Amino acid sequence: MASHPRGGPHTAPALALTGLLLAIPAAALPFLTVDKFGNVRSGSFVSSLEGLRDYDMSLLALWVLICGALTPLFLLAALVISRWQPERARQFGHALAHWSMPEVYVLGVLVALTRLGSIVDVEINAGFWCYVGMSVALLLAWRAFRLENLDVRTA
Amino acid sequence: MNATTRNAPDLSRPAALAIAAAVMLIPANLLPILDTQMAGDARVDTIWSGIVELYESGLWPLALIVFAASLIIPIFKLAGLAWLMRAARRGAPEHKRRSLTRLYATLDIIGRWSMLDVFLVAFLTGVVRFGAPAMVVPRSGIVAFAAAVVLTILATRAFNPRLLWDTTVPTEEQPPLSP
Repeated sequence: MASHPRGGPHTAPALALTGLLLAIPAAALPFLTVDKFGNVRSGSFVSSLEGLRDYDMSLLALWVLICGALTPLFLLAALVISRWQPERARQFGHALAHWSMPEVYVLGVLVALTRLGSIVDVEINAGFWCYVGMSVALLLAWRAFRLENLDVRTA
Repeated sequence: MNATTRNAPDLSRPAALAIAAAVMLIPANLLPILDTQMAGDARVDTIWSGIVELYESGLWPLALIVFAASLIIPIFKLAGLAWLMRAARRGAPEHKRRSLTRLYATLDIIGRWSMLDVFLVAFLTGVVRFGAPAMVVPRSGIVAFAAAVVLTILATRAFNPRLLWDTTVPTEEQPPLSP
């Protein structure tokens, strides 16, 4: 660790793998449960896509899917392989990073939660925390990867 | 062409994308983005009225966040890009190159946060689907806003910040050659 004060070459792949593992429950579990007059509904990432699709906004749903799920997952996968193929990971990373927005999605859900609170009873579920964890793991992995590359280039 | 001259840089692509984004911001801000139906009451929100509603509900920190993400950032990005393109076209003064490059990096980073409203509407639409008691319906303004955000990101990506460090003098500003 002394020679790698920022964690070393395993940090980014380890964090990215954590993010990928968290993505599974984030996709499978509901983000929240809302209750209106005893009528209970679950909300998840997938339900937001279904909602847009049902109102003939499939293109917007696709865009939300790309920025909120597909690009973050591809970026995490690229960071996992960065230990063995750093140059390819760097190319993928720089191409994908601009379109990966899970942290913005998290903020959007938090604002939605606050607005929902005045309309319905809301309970946050595990899926949301897993998505938050995936988002944080991705940010940390990307930061570690960039710092590591900086170390390699300036060494 | 000698070593100290250059043609004016080709900025047509970022300029076209920035103009398209500016055009899309007009319907994005004028058209409703969301219908909220609550036990017989219907409310139609634009970006601005949504911010005002948050503020009037006492949620001013959230109103500030949405205001910054949905109104300030897109306008700041387009104004910043216009400034960068002007600097690249005219040749950036040496003492300003570093600050202009920082401005580009800032524009590149903050653009994504404008997607906040799109994700907010998408999530509300997916969750609040109780039929008559409560419904949230997305409206066309949010599509225009998403298009504006994508176009501003593409415009920023299309701009090459290396043009700010081009030390040669643009051809169009050359003094006339002596006979």
